[in-house]
Amino acid sequence: MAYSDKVIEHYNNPRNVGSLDKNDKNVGTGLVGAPEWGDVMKLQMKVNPSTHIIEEAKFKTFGCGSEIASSSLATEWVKGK
Amino acid sequence: MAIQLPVYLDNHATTPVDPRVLDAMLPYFREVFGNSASRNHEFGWKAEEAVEKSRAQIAKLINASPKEIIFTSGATESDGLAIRGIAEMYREKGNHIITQVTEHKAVLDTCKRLEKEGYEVTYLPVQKDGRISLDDLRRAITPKTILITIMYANNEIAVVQPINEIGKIAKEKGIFFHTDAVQAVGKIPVDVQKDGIDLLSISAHKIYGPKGVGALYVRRRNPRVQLVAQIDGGGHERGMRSGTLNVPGIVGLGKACELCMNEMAEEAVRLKALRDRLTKAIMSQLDETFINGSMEHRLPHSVNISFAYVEGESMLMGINDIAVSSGSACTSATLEPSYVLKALGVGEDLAHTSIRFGIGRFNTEEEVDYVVNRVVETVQRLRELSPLYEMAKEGVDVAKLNWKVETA
Repeated sequence: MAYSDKVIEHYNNPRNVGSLDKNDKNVGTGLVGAPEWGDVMKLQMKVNPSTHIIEEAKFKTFGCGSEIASSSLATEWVKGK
Repeated sequence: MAIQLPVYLDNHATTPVDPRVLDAMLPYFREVFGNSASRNHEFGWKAEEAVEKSRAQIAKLINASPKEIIFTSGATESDGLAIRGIAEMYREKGNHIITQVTEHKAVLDTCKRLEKEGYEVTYLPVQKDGRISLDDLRRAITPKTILITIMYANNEIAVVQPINEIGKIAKEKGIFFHTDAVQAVGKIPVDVQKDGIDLLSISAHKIYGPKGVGALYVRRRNPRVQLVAQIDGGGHERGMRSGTLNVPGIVGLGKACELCMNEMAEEAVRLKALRDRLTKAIMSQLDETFINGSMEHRLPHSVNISFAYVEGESMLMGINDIAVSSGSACTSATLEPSYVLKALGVGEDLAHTSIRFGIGRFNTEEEVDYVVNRVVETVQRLRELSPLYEMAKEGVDVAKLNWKVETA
C-alpha cells in the first residue's frame, strides 16, 4: 500500500477532528456519502457573519486512510477563506 | 518476552513454511534432483521414492489410499481439474452442477466458465450462520446433476459446512461430491470415507508447506471416479495430470501433512485458546462489535469480526504492524466489499468494517495480547473520527437513514 508520507501524516495526526454546534446559526453542516459505500464525511464550518470568513472547520470521516487524510486537509484549506 | 514486529495473523491467506518442512525439501534441490519419471536410473528412482512417500503421508491425513492422490500446482488447479474434469467426463449423463455462493473464486469462476459452455449451475444460498441448508440442496438436485461441489471450510469466515450430511445426500442420489478442503485439512479431522467425499482439493501453502504445489484426492472405489485431464503431455499421474512432478514441493507437502497428522489435535486446542482469548478481549473492551458466521461450526483458529462505524482499510492502516485481512472494498482489487459477508446478509456498511484474524502455529500469547491492545486503541481512535459513531451515540439509527436525501 503506497500512500504518500503526507497522507500518512494526516491519517496519524488528523487536524480539526470533532464537531461544532450544529444548532449555531453561523455553522454550516454537510454530510455526504453512505455507509454501504464505505464513505461518509461530515464537514462543518463556522462563518463569521460580518466578514464572511470561515473561522473554524471541523470534520468526522468514516472511510479509508486516504479519505481521512483528505478530509483533514480540506479543513485546513478552508479556514481563513 | 519481546515480540517481533510485524505480527502475522493472516494465516488463511498463506502460512510460513515450517522449518522441518524446509529441511525435508532441501536435499531434493541439491543431490536428489532427479526427475521422478526417469525410470532407468537411480536419480529417477530416488525422486520417485520420495514422491510415493509423500502420497502416503497425504493419504493418511485424509484416510485415503496413496493411489488416490494426484499432485497439482495448487488448490486452484485441483479445483479446476475436479470440476472441469468431471463436467467433461460425464457430459452424456448430465450437465448440472450444484455449488454455493461463498465458495472460493477458484470454484466460482470455473463454474461461471462452464455455464458459458452450456452447463447449468445452481449456486445455493447460505444462511446467516454461513452454512447451506440441506433442504435447499435436496431441492436443487435434478436427474441431470453430475456434481456437487461445496467447500469444507470457508477462507474468509472459517465456517465449516455440514460435509458429512452433504456426503450422505450425494451418495443417496448417486452424484459425485467434491470439496475444496484447503482451509480444513490439517486443522480439523477430515476423513473421505466417513464423509462420503469423492474428490478433495489440498493446498500446501495453507498448512506450513511451500507455495506452488497441491493435491487432488480422486476416489477409486465405491464409486470409481474418472476425470478428463486438463493438461496433456506424457500422461503423468495416471493420465490425469501431465507434467514433470515438482519433487521438492511434493516432499514439502507430504512432510507438512505428516506434521499435521501428528500435531493437529494438540495444536487445535492451543490455537482455539488463543483465538478465544483474542475474541473475548476485543469484544469485552469495545461495543458494537459482531462476529461474522457461526461460532459453533467454525475452524478453531480463526475469527472474523466487524467493528461498526470504523472502515476496514483505515483500521488496517492504524494497525499497520499487524498482518490481517479485511472485507472492506478498499482492500480488494475490484472495490467491491466481500461477497462472502454479503451472502451472509451482513449489511454492506458492516462488511466494510470487518477484519479477519487467522491465528497460526507460530503465533504466541504475547502476540495475541499485543494485537488486542492495538486493535482496541485503533478502533477507539477511529470512532472519535467517525460521524456514524457520533450519530449512533446520539440515538440516530444510522442504518435507517435515507442517505440519498442527506446528500441532496
